[in-house]
Amino acid sequence: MNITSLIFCGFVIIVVALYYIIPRRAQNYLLLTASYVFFATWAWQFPLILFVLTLLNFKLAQWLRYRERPRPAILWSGIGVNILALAFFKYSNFFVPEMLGLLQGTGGQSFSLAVNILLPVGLSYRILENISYLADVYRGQIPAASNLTDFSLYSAYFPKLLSGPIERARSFMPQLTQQRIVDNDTITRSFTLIVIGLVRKIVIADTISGVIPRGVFVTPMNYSGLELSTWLVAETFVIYNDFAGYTDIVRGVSGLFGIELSRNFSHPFFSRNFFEMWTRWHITLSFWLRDYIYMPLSRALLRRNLSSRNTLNLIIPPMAAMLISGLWHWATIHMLMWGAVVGLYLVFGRILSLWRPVIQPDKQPMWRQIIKMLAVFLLINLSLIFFHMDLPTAINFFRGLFIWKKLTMPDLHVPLMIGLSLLIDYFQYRHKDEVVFLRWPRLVQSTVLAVAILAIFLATLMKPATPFIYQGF
Amino acid sequence: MGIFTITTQTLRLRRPFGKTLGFAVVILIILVGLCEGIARINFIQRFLPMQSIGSGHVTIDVKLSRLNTFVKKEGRVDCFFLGSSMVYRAINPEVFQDAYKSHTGKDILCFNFALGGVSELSTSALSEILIKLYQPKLLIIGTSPLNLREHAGLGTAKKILNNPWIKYHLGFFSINGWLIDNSFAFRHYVGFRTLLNPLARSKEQKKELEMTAYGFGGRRADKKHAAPRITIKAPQELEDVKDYENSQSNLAAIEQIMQLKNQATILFIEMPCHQSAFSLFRRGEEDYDRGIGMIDNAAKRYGMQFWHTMPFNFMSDEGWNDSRHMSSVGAEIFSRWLGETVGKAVKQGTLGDPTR
Repeated sequence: MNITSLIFCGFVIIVVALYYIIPRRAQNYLLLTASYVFFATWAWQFPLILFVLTLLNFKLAQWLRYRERPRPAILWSGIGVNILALAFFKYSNFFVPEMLGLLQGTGGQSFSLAVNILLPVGLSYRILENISYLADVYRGQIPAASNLTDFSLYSAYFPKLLSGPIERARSFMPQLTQQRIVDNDTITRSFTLIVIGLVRKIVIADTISGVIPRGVFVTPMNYSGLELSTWLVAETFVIYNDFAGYTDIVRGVSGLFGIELSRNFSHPFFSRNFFEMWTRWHITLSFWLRDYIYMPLSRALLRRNLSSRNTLNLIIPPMAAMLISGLWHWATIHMLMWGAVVGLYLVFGRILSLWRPVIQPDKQPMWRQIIKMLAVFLLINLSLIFFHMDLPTAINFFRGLFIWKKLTMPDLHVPLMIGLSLLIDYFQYRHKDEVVFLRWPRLVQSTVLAVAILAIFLATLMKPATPFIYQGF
Repeated sequence: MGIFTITTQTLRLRRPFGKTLGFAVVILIILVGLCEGIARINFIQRFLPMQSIGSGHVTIDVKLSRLNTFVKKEGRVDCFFLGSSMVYRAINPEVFQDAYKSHTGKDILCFNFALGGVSELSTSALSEILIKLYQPKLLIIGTSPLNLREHAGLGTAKKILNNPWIKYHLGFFSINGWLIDNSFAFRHYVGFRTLLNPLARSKEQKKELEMTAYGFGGRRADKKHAAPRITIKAPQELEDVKDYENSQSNLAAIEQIMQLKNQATILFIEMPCHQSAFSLFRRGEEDYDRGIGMIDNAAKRYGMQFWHTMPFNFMSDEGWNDSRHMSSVGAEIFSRWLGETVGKAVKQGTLGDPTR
């Protein structure tokens, strides 16, 4: 059941209607049932896998602080089990056939085993949530959940099931136990988020991705430098609007249940340095990496040497965080390279700050801010070359960027849609409010909404909505 | 209090609610109505992008535009020429009409609706749609063993066959197809989206320039592609033609066109190609003849006419733009011959009168 489909729309309407009618104490059961039904529409095996993982983490957390004493062995076993589950489901389709091939070669035994292990959609996100939950319980920041229904709902809540946001139990679980109120403001805000999300996904991302030539990230040698640069920037806006659109839609849907989900994007292309970038792009993942990789490593290193010029502390935490981020996306060399490159950006940023006084980006002259935004955008785009394609193709892509054999006019869909994306970002950025549109006069709001509905309708007619990119992770 | 609120344990709605959405719906209706009204004004249409059915095949949009102007001006169309680019480049309706009139003394109105890069699959669908929309009396389908290749024009044919407007007219309803058929504004919008693609834009401009009001696109004999220098050795091309005899789908499409014989007179003609094109086949002319034989057999099964045009294969090089397409010189000769021959056949009563 795709989130931009009419079936999902109908599903949400039914669940919301029931949710408002039934008594408060039955609402969590309804949401849990709906979430498992939603998950089962992808593959009947997925709910089973999810249930086993949920039960396991629920029990592990209870043992973690048995008699108020933290038990590191249980924590590490819990983390290990989650990572193993991820590795098994996510990477077995790559490793198992290769291993079988090797065994066939050495042992001479014939393996006719049909290996086809399904990757449960959104498993990578569930694993990060499970690890953060175990770590928080271990640190004593939250108590272990005592109600299996609530914990199962935290794990399976359908609006965030496919691609996050990666929620922390400490902000999500309390919402499940309290009275949830949905009033005019909540509904208006939720619908606004859904409309913004649909515009980002269907009007902007799908339109741009529809004009990007299929071969550009497969055989870049066939394209000129200008074409490659255009499509690279275009693809960056596709990923951004696709994922930001998805997050807006699911946050809007969740808002209809009175449950608030975390923000994942905050106009990232207006970042003036890489630290700022990672507080604006896939925010819940960045903060997860910060809290469970970067900070613990940094604290450990600083315990040995408190100097601000502690070289290991300058390099290891950002590199480790970004390499893990790369591996989390996919265990391939090119993803690792992507992680290494963005990690290096952070390291250089930290080293530069040692010699120059740190001035808040907002306090710098506008021209300098714009130059920095452009520089960050350019470097992020270059790093994304490794994100989009395998290593040999990426190298060819880099070479191709410098071969300006012919000047071709870009497809005008690209600048038009990028302009629209930046315009939405600009309004949100300027007023520091993602639903800034609600401040406008009613007539303007209605006109913009009418145009948005028309644009979504027309875009859907021109090209049926495609699956979300980050569903694949 | 009760009538101004909708309250459950969770839902606390105060009235008024949904006002913005209500206004938006009203604005949307006004906006759509305005756009449609404006798009229907003849004077304004000149300034709007060309209407498109969104098939990704630019020629079809230009042809439809030309055809609609043609029908608006003449009031009817008696005869369509259909097929691939071989027909598009070879049959000039104006020459055909003159030749036909000189033999029969009757005016006939013809339009060339052949499209480049298509196969018999899409020609079959277009035949059905054109009969339904314009009720012509005669369809002249140009075909060739070159079109019987399994992969000939398959990509373009699929694009056309998957187009919502084409599907809509073949009986598969969709909102998209309905809108393209009924809304001027939507067709202009689709045209606008096409124009944003620079490649489609330049193709459209080229077609606009070369295509006559009768849908014909003549080309001068190009020295660069002149026939004596035609040697087709592209491995892919050779690979494509060697299995031509297995193209059951294209043969089936030809038979499907033949099944339309109750709705209009249908005449099949062999589209000539330069003799050098025989080299495309594994066994040269022998394979070519076998292809002709297959079409012959199908025509016989349906009791239809399939006219052979073999002598034109040996027309002088001046008559050719390349191995498969005639130049405007060749087109002039071929169209005149066709007009005269059809005229004779009508006079002799072997072909139904398309002007009656």
